[in-house]
Amino acid sequence: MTAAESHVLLFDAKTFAKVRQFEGHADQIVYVVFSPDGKNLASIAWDQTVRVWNPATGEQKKSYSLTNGYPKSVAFSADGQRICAGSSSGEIYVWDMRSDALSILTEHKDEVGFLLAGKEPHTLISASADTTVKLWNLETGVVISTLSGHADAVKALALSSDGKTLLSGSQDTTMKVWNLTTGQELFPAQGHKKDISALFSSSDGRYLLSCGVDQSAKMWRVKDGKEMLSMRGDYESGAVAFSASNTYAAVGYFKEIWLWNLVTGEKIHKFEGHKNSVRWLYFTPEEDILYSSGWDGSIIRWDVKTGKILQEVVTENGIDCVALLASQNLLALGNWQGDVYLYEFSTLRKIHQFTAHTAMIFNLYFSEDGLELLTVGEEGQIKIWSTQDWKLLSTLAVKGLKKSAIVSHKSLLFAITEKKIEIFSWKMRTPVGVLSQTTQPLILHVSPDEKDIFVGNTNGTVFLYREKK
Amino acid sequence: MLRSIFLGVLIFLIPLSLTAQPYERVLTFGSENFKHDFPVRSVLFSADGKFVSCQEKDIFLWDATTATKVRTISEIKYGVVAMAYSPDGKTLAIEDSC
Repeated sequence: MTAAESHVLLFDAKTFAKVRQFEGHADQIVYVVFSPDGKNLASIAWDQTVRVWNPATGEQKKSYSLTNGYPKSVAFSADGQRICAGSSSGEIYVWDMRSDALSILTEHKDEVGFLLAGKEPHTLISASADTTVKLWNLETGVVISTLSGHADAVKALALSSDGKTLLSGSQDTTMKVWNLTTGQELFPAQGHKKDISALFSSSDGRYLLSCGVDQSAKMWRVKDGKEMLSMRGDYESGAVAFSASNTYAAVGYFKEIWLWNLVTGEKIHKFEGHKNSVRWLYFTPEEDILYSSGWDGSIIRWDVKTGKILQEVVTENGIDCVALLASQNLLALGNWQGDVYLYEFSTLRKIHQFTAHTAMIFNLYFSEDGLELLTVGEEGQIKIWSTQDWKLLSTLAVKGLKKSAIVSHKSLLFAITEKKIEIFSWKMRTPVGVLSQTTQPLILHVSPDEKDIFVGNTNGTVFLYREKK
Repeated sequence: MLRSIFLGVLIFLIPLSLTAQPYERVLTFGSENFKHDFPVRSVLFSADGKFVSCQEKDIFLWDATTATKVRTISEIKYGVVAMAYSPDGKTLAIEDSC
């Protein structure tokens, strides 16, 4: 059985011989389906109609028209009495074939691309481009439950034979499994759902903070990867920091910074002052002061207890990345024009500036001994500068270089490229190894003891690479 | 003379080979179960209760208790449009077209 241009063809499943042809649709047929008892056949087409046929005779039994949108999906109810069509505009048309009475279900906000009969005769399950799946009572037209969790259009559904478990497949590249009775997701995804935007490990290396564009920040136990805490905000989170005792976490959600108590899991207060996305956060060892910087070009010194601004310095041309060399009281800022600004950290006084790249500086990093500064430019070059006189020591052209690159204590340079982390010898500036991934890495972070390399990916996961013994 | 060149080459090679893969992946924070590389086009239950899903050119079979992938079928030429089991659950039909 297949849908050709504008007629339905019926074939014998054993011999593949054509049995019958159903004429009537005025435009291309989209989908055909048999009723559960096999006595009816329904088809939908671009002519905005749903037609029900007798497969034994070829007779057209019903022709129903949609008043809005085009039919994208069709299903009989489990008892075969109702024919349901999902529309491109989000409505579900339900005709009772005994009375030809029409009811229109209007809860979906976008195309209904898949319909499936529920186990009970009066239920229907719908999948929509509005990212939800809904279970309907066809007698009352009321939604029994809404299954939310997909990040993009839901394209396919399947129901287990006992009617209790539902599979949903989505444009978001995931399949989800649901307990249809409770509406709960079985095997829910753990961790972030989208791009990781920042990583920060605790001073003892036991915990990791991550944040992402899914508006959440999370604390993980490094020992076994257990998610300890999830801190949800109102906007994309782009910066995160632990306090020295690991009691607090500061998370930048767009322009706001939220202070979380990691012991109780509660939000303490909000720091408001930045005019654009917060990109860097740092607690002083005494935990009384928090530093932040943002795309708005400002560096702000906050009183942690009160959330009040103690000092604010605004630089020209924004701030895209920050590196702190606390031992030398030095703060380096990189901006979109390719300039590096150097500040005395304790006073936030500018002491030097130089042009490092012709395009945006993605990332800055001080070497462990503080003698060198690494800058990662948008044009695909890593440059290494002397922190004594800010002279250029070396340039590395890295093909497909992404935003992040760091240096480890073993004098290794890790640079993110297309689905790879390329390892270079810091001293010799030569490639020495590659860590290949199937997911695209976005950001790198090195633990304080420099034994662990954390890599945040586009699929929301964070990989831990550990130094081989 | 020949010996000193030979030694020089050796000294240069040894540190390189020692640092070639100094790190190994040991852990993943967060996981997405039933993750595909492309949009999911169709889903099914197999007769023995496994989950079946397909993306562009692959069909995956998943264990329904552990949510792990147990089999991948990748001999798809153009792209899976639809799939269905025969009533006895023994045969999987795949529509493969551009």
